[in-house]
Amino acid sequence: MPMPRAEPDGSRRTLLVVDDHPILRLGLTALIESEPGLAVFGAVGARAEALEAMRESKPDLAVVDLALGDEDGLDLVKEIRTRHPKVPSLVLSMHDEAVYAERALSAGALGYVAKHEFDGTLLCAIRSALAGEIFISEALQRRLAERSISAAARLRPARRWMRSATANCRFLG
Amino acid sequence: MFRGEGEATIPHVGRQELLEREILAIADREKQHIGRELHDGLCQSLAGIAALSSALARSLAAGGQPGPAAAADEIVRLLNETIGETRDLAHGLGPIGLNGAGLAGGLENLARNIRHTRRASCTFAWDSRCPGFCGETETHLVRIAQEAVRNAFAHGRADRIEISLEYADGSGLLIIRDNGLGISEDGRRRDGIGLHTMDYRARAIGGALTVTRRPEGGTSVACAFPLPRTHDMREGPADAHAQS
Repeated sequence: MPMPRAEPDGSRRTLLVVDDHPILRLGLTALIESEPGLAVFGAVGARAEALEAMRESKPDLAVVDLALGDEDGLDLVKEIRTRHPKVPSLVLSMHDEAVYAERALSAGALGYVAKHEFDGTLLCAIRSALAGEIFISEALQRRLAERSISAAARLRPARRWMRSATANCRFLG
Repeated sequence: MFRGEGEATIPHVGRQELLEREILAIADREKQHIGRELHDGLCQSLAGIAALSSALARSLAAGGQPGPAAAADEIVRLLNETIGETRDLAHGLGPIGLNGAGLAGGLENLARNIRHTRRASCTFAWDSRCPGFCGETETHLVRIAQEAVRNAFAHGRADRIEISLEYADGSGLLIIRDNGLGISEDGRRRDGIGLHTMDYRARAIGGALTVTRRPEGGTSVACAFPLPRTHDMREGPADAHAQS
């Protein structure tokens, strides 16, 4: 899959990494910098440091962990969106995307990457976000589609099932 | 326990039940703590190391060393697998969900995790008039379901599980049914620690546990429990249904 190359003038796209776990910051930095055309603008562990890092100059993209210690990464995503509307964000998380990916998108992130599916996915997501496109995994796209199809049909069989459970309830009384 | 010794043991049994309850509460707190450490500590470190290894693989590949690059990619794959296993372990330890998903939410999370990790069918059906319970009651009920599911896979070799939660006549009923081998009638497998713990949990919330072999095959674990007296049968949170 093609990845972002260096800009015509040789400059690189810069990324701000925000994650409260030091080994993860190290790994993310190494992975991002292994890609020609990408450079790490800064790697910080908390909301205030992230906003401080963006005061003087701006990165091309912010990669934000969902859980920043006691802080909510999604609050930072919203704040970046308000203060620096031209800087897109990607959300990283160890949590199940089924629950959090949609929240990340509603907070204004351009994508959601599960930390347990790093190989290749992260760089694809970065490429999409730098191009201004939304990135979610194929599994999530499938799940969202399945959910909308089955949502209406789901209730009726569940209610039938409940009645049979009520019959058992008397037995157990 | 000193059952069969008559009335003199009644205060003793009361104290014992309090102790059992306290022990379970401590065990649950510890499990949640370990689960959180695994998820927020160990998994994050493993993910960082996976990212470092992935960077190494890319740099080896770019340097024209396909053999070592493939070895580094294999390390990344193994690390990702290990992260998945550790996450499953962490989820098993903290079943209530991330932010107090409530009873229905906790059971739905359990069913979803089983579908994802066991590749088995697991359905969850519940009455939408789900009342709010205290955290302790929710924890006990989700743990009972979790233990029943664990037994269904480990001892019953089931591949289909149905969890249901309903309310009727002032009491609630949680049932976990599987299509496995079924619990033995002679009680040989009835003395496992898991069954005792489920029974303690049921009693701790004022309920009763019934474990039966289903005529059509498989096991049914049912926990009937009293509802809080003052609660209204109100509609559950709207997003509970959306979690499946």
